[in-house]
Amino acid sequence: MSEMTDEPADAEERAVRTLTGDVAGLCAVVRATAAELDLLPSPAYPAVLPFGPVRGGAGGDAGIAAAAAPGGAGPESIGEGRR
Amino acid sequence: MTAFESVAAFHGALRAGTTTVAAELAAERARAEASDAVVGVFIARAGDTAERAAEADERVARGLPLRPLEGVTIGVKDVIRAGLGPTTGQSAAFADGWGEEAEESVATRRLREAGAILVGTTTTMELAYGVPEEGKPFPVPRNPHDPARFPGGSSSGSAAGVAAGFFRAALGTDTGGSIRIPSAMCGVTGFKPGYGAVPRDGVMPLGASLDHVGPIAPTAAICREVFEAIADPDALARARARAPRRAPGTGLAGVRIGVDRLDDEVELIDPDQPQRFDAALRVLRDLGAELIEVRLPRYGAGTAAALLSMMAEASAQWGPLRDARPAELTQATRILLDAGRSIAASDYLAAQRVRAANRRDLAVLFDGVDAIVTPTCHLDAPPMTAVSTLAPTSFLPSVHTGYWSGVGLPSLAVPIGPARRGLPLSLLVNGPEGGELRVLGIAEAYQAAAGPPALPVTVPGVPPDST
Repeated sequence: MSEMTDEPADAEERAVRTLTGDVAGLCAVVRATAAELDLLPSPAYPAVLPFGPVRGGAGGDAGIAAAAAPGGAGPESIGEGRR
Repeated sequence: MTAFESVAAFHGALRAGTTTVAAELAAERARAEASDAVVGVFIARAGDTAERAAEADERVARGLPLRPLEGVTIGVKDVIRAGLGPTTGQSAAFADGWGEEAEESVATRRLREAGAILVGTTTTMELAYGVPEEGKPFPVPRNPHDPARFPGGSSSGSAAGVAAGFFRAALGTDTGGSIRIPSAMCGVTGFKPGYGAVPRDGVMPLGASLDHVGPIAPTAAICREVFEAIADPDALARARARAPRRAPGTGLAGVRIGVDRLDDEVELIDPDQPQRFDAALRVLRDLGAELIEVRLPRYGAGTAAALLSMMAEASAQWGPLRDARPAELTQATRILLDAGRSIAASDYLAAQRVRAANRRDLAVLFDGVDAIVTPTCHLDAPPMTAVSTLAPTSFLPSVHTGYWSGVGLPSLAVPIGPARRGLPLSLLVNGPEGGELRVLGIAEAYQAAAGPPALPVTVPGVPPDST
């Protein structure tokens, strides 16, 4: 009885662990890429959020304008291999 | 129902007396009555559509000016407050409605003001996030081309309903591809505008830095007409200012289109995908476009950054609900929310730096090209049985929408014909900031050259449309 009732929960826990492992791999990719960005010469303080402040409703043009502001060096990876 | 390439053409037919709004609505209702039990499009149906259709036909009969979307039937993904009953997000947790204290969404209010007829709310993945689960008090959406296949998500019912001819257009939301993925898998056109171009007020949030509202329709022209009705005025003015001005009949002469096939980013490619993709490129070239091979900056890291951002933001948004009422959520949603909590704040911030860097470098790339095309997916729609609640991200590796979500730029999925199983394949057309009308214009030119708009799909096992 207990084996039957525990089985779905076990499967769900395993699925969470599997997906968490996949997520950890993606985090490593992003960390490595961000670290390379840090090595590039940057004339401005590094951009953190891609679009600036986000309000509850529409994102708004102000956020996009903030995101478009220069945050670092030029097209360092265009034409190079992918990571 | 009649297939029209645009609302303008539909209005022309109304004025010419070759059809009426009531007749089109009746045909669409007949199609839904015949096959919605199979494809699971509607959560709730509006009760006033016949009256709205009669009003539209009265305006036509009296020769009054028609509003931009007069008489156009539209389904609304059930994460958007549409004034059609409780907004459930397809979740038992919100059976009584989410955001009931809030007003109708800005997007649906603008649709009504433009004369559209909102015909009902449409199925989604739970909270626009999970995967379909049998045994819940909501229909399971299926692909109209083959109900044994996944329709894509999470704007599943919106895309399936357009493909099956239940309504002429639909609203969806897109956080990592939720407009473009189901549009690709159901063989219709789906448009994610740039970030912030369409207001999200009255829309159930998932990932605050990634959520977009946009149209799904048989053609890019109808997507444009719906976008023009729901866009913020400033965003629309900016898009109009940046749209190339071309004389009629000049095709895409002078338009430079970057091409990245992304074949080295996937493990599996449908055998027909390269041929269909190349055929679509030939159409663009024959229209006069110059095709230029490009490589998207940091594609893999950009896609990872978008997915991590979505998962972290979704867990922040819905984690408290998951803790308080876990039994009311589906298994896939719980798994996604739990895994999203494993993302460290430092990794979330690293993801934002990657997104910002990609956005900056893409702006430079777009100095040299007007748009960039890639496959939307390298595979056609997977079997429903392959989309497991225990592996809710299983279909994502073949999909290329997330990268463009992360940078918040306009992105449109346009069908390019079927694979050998008869399931649709799709091209993704992407543009720079403010490039909404540029992207839509390229797709409109492509579809005009590729042939007339496809008739709605007759769902297998359902008698053909006798209308």
